[in-house]
Parts: sequence; structure tokens; C-alpha cells
Amino acid sequence: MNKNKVTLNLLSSFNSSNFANLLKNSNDFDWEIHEADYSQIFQTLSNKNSKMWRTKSNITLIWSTPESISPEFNKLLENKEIDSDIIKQDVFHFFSCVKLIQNNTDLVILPSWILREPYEGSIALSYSKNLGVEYNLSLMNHYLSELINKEKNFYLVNSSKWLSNCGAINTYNSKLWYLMKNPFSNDFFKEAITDITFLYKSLKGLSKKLLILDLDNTLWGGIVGDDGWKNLRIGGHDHLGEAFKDFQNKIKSLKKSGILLALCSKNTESVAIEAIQKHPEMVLSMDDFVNFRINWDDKAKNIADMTKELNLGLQSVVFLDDSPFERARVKEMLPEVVVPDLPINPEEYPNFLSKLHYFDSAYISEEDKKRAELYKSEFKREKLKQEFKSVSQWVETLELKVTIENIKNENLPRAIQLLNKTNQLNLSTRRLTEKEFTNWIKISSNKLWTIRAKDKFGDYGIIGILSLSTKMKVAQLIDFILSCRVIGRNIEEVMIEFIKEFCRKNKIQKINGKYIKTKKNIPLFEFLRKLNLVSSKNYSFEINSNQDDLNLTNIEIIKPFSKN
Amino acid sequence: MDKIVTKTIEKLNELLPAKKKLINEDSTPLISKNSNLDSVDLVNLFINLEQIIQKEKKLNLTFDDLIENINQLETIGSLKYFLTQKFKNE
Repeated sequence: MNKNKVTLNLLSSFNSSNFANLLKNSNDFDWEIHEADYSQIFQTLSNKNSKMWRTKSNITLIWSTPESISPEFNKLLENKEIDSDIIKQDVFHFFSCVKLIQNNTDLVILPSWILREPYEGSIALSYSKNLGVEYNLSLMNHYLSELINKEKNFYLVNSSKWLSNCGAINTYNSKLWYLMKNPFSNDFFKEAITDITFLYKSLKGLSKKLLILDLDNTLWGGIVGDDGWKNLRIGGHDHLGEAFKDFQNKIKSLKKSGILLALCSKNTESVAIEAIQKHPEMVLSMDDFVNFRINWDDKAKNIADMTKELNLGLQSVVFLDDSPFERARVKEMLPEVVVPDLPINPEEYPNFLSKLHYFDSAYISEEDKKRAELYKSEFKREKLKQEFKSVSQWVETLELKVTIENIKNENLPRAIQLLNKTNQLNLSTRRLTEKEFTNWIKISSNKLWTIRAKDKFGDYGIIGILSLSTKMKVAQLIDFILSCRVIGRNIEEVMIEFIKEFCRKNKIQKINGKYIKTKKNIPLFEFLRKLNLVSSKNYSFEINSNQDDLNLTNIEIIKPFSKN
Repeated sequence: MDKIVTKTIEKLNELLPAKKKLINEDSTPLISKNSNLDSVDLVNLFINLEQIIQKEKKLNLTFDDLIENINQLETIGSLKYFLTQKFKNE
């Protein structure tokens, strides 16, 4: 399987070769790592001619220890009194150096500071301002996080968590330090690699979108068909019941952050739904699920069908089931679906879910919060669609209203999210960081619009982006992006007509475009082929802005021309 | 000692690029002119071995023990023989 290449510049205050080798051997990406000599952080950051900065990397990872950043902090380890303000100055100096390379990389990742070796000083003095290691280490991390929060594309990742997960005894290895100048174990590095990979995936819009859940012994304790809904273990004065309730609460909070939920259970539908509706301790209700299959069919088939109905790819799905048999079956039949092994003890389910980072997101937009509702409206539309003979007949009944707006601050997060997450209806599949995106739209010859839509069933929110770059009276279509949720209801055509109208108004006749093929953007190819713009041999196309308009009836379109 | 050496090789292979990964066979070179391992790989090999033997068998093997007997560690097979001999009375 071809993996996406990710370039990473690695600067560290210790010998990080083991970390780099483990990262290269990790599965998610094809990592290309450029390592600076260890203990040369400041020198490498300040040397603009360093080979490392010649090409822009995807990630720069700067991994330092507090001892290497602040000489004042070092004095604490020798039980000397220090001045906390000097430590803050050291942190500020470090961060000023880090900022020097921000244009040479998409992202800067800094693990939070932990000590290079275990340290136990006086218990009484731990949090003393002038003598406490813990106080000043917290201060350093807090101050660094404040500086980072002012920047875009800088991320402080929690290395204390890695230490806590491994335990100090499995984190530090003094032999490795004295022989290799590497203080940390491979297990500790593996924790770091997991987090850094998930962080990168979430920033690149590769997080999962749909969580499909089993019922018996997954959402509740017991088997509803045998035990009856009144005897299921959820909540109450029961340790297992409490664990299942907490697990449901955590799932509900995922839904609130925009993750879609669905059910896939081998049960009699009416019996299972009765339990969900009647059990007084159920946290999740049928309204929380955008789709369900409660029957005795093969779960792999059920999952594939539900995912297709939601217009999602199988790579967007996580499936949780207590049964090793069902998990193995789904893993075998649908290898793109993530099927984690649930712990044997349900008491561990809530914590287990917290540690699954598949759903991590860098930000949560208004559209994310409403996603489940949006998908439910979609079902109503689909139902209506089936009643009509043709798609155009169906679209005419939707009372569709499309609003095209110039990009504005409040729409930025959603626009960036669409740019980085949309796969199927995406012309170029270019991915940009927030900073790159804001820089791009600042260029006067570039224009970018967001597309909103609503119909009689509900508001879709912002579902598309269009962008052009103009030069010498020729426009280049850069982004043509539409959420897969709204494919095939003539919004694509509205977008094409809008570009033509914009160009006509700006006396631009020629609009060039190029379809860049990916594994997933076939739907866009099909749309462009329908308009006779591309063929299987030619992906470049030209649109004449004076060309006849496409026939779009019964769609209200609000355009931003008054502001141009 | 076979299990100990197997685990050690597995741990080392986590760090090695595909081309350098060791095949767990007695004839695979470790410390010889035919070996692909560099000094950092050897340090990792020895530290892993020391930790695994301590954890699994509660036996003490130091880095210095290995360095002093480096001539006897030409291949995976000779490493197993060295360990078996060293701990035959344990």
C-alpha cells in the first residue's frame, strides 16, 4: 500500500536516532526525516543556511529538555536558589529562536518539557518559587504554552502523558544516556510517535467520521434478547452498570463534537429499540444515531451498506464490538475499517475510548456540532428522492437556496476544514495549513468563496469552496470543493455558473482548470465529464465564461457581487 | 536462551530499516566484517539483551560482559552459545 510521504525535521537536545528509526518504521506514513546534530537546537534554528531549511518540511519537531534550554533552571538541580524571571527569559529566548523557522515548515511540534532523568528533591521545596524544580518546570511549560497559543501551526504536545503511560521506570534508561546520550526508552518514544501521528492526521483532516457500535455487552451489560431490557446493566448502583453509563456518556460527547454514530447489532430490531427507548439509565437515544442495522445479517455487510448510505468511505469508520469473532470478521472483510480490540473488562471501556485518538480534531466548527442533524435531514431527502422518477424532478422539489459568500473571518475554520477534509468532490485536493490558507487568500489576484446551502428539510451549513487565481485576464480554477453530503443536487452546476458570471463581470473570458486525480475524487471527474470538460485522456479543461448557462430551475442563488 | 535472543532481535529490528533487519537464524552475522550493524545498533542490541535477560530470567548480564567477550559474538548462533555457557550453572 502506498503511504503518503511526510517530511519531518528533527532537532533535539539528545541523541534522537532511536526515535527517528522507530518513526521511520511506523506504519501510517512514509516518513522522511532530516535530523540535526543533537544538542545543536539553537545553532540549527538560527542558521538560515542550514541544509535543513532549504526545503519546506511538513513538520519540524523540536524536542528539548528543560536542562538544555535554561541554565538558570539547571541551578535548581544543584539545589541553588534561582530567579524565576530569568527562567522565563530563557523560555522566551528559546521560543524566539523557534519562530525563526516558522516559514520553513507547515507545523512546529514541541513536546512539553520533562526532566532528562528522574529527580527527587526535597518534598517541602518542590513547589517553592526559588528552589522548587516542579514549580519552575510547570512555569516553563505554562509560559511556553502561552507563547505558542499566540501562533498558528505551533503545537505543544504533552510528554508528561507519555511518561505517565510508561511509568518512570520504563521511561528513563541511564545506560542509554551514558552510552548514547539518549535519556528515553523506546516504549516512551512509541507513545510520542502515536500522539504525533494522531496530531498530524487530525490537522490533515484524516480523522475518522463515523463510530459504529454493537449493543449487547458493548453499550450495555447483558444480552437484551435473553435478559430483557429491564435487566440490562446500565447505571444504577452497580460497578459494571456505571462503567457502561460512563462509556455511553463519552460516546455522546463524541457526537457533540461532530462524530456520527450508528448501530450494528445482531438482535431483533424491535427488542433492541425498545431497550434503548425504555431503559431509564440509557444515555444514548435513537435520535443520536444517524443510521442503524439491527438484524441477524453479516455485520460486515451491514457496515458497508450503512457507510455507503451516508456517502462516506470505509476509511472513515471505527467499529466497536465486544465480540472477538465479529471484530475478526469485520477486519477481514473490510480492512479499511478500524476495529480496535475492546478491553475484556467493561470497566476499562470509558478510559479505552478516551485513549482512541481516531476522532481527534484540531477545531470543532458549527457544522461539526450539527452533523448528526444534517445527516438525518439527508435521509428525509433520500426518501423523497425515491418517490421521483428523475433527479432533476426531485431537486426541483427541495426548494434549494444556495448562498455564495466571499471568504470572511467567521467562515475560515470551516473553509480550512473543507479544504483539508474533502476528498470526493475536490478538484486539486490541495491541503493547506491555516497560515498557508490565510496567506493565500490575502493575495489580491486570488479569490475564494464559501458555499452555503439549505432546503426545506434543513440547513446544510457551509458545504463548499470555490477559488480562482487570475492573471492577465485569464482565470485559473484552483479549488472546486463540495461536501459529499450534497453531491448531485445541482449545487455543482450552480458553482460553475457562478464562476462564469464572476469572470464575465470582471471581463475574463477564459477559465482554465485541471483535474488532479486521486484515489478518491472520481465523483468530481464524473461531474466534469458530464459537462464534457474532461475525458479519461485529458484532465485539463477550459471554460468560456460566455458559454451558454446550464439550466438550473427552482434554485435560489444569493451571490456576493454587490461587494466585489 | 533461544527465546531471549529472539526477543532481543525483535526489539532491535524495530529500530532497523528494512534493508538492515536481522533474520533470526544462527548464521546471521552480528559482530563481524559481514555484519550490517553499526556501533549504535550494537549498543541497542546489548542494552536490549541486558534488559530482557534481567526481566525474563532474573540474570545479570552487563554491558561490559558483552564488550569483553565481543570476539565470541560473531553470529546470532555464537551469541546463543555464549549466553548458554555463561549461565549454564544458573
